[in-house]
Amino acid sequence: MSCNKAREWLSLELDGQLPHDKTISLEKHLERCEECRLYRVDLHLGQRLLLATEPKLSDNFEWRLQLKLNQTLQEVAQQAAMPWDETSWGLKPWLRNFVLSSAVGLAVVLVIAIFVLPTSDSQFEKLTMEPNVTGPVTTDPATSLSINRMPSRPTIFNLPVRTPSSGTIHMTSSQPRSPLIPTQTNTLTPWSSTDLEDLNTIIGLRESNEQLRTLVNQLRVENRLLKRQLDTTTSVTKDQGVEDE
Amino acid sequence: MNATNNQSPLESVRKPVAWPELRDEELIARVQEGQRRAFDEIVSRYKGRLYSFVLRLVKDPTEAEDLTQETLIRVYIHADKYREIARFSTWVFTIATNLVRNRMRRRSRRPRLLSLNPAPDEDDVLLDPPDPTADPSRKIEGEELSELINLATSKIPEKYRVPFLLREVNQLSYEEIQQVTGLKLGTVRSRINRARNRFRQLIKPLLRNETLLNELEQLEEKMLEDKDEE
Repeated sequence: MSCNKAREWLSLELDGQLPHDKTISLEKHLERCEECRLYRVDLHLGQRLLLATEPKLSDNFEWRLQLKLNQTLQEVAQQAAMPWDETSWGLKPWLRNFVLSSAVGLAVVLVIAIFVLPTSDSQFEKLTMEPNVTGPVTTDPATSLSINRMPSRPTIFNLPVRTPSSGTIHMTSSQPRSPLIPTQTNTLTPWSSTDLEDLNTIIGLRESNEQLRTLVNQLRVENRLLKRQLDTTTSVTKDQGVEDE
Repeated sequence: MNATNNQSPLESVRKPVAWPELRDEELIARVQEGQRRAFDEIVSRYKGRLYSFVLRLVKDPTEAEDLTQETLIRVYIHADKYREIARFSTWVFTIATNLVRNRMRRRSRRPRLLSLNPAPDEDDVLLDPPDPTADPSRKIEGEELSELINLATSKIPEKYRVPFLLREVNQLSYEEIQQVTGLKLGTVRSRINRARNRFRQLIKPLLRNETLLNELEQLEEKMLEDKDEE
């Protein structure tokens, strides 16, 4: 056994922690090693010295302890009685400062957002004021509409109309007759300019459709008449041809 | 009042409690019930041990007293948190060790401008002149001996010093030291061994002093007398 190991075991032996079998080995080593025997004596002496030279407290220690304890108990009672007291928040100063500064920062950000950032109305006004804006501009869409202000309705077709008596066909364009468009006398459903355009287009197409239908009917009638005329002419010609022979 | 013993209430009130005979765990149970006298008994038992332990760690008597008071106050305030899973002494020394650690950490962040205490492990020279161990026949008085021993203790590295003092001075078992320090059992054993080795190296000249044993025996007698008086 080495002396290092023996000293380790001597420390355990001093504390009553060395197993019995190791104690026997240790004793055998100590029989041969004077240095380790001296080490064992020194360990015991050292322990006695530590215990005998324990530092002494001051005489008024207990009195001061009782005073401090009473003060602490008073503080604890005060905190329990008034938890809303600022001094008894229990918050660390840095946490309190952090919360306050965060609240102030948030308030500043809100003020900036309300007073500095542009609103949607003002943006709209800017756009309408710009001269280069193309497309329809309606400055006041909510007010009453006037037919005069509306863009002119496109006439998509100049449609021929045949009057049966004259046999002539002349082109005409019809006026819009949609009940959806607010008349001059009516107000006030707000229509955007785009809506109006679309509506005019639809009206135009409907008119065209009607005109075409009318035209088709007229052409059918004419076709029938022509056919009858043709049949009559053919029969007369055939009769005449037979007589000449 | 104990109804199960069929005592009259007056008898139990008249019978004085033998406070010194109560175990620590019984005392703290009475503190939990609000008996201030039980706390006074705890203070009487632990103030010396705590102060000795703390002083040999922080080296400043004022600070050591302050920490000892803080430990005892916490024992009182948080008495309801003690459970008899561990020994009461383990709980008390855990509080003290944590307070000392916190104080040392704060101290290391704010270094002292002026230190009257020598830094540990500066050198292996134990003693400033005059060196009482230079002459083995020179008598070393009690107070001088205390100073030498405290100085030697302060030169043990802190991580070895805590388990060493808990074992040597406060007689805590290895398992209790394990609970207080949070170290593994093997680490506790090895640190105590190394601390003893170091301590022995430091006080070796003192151990060879011829008058040491006499002085030591006188001190031990005085200690016993003081205990009897209390």
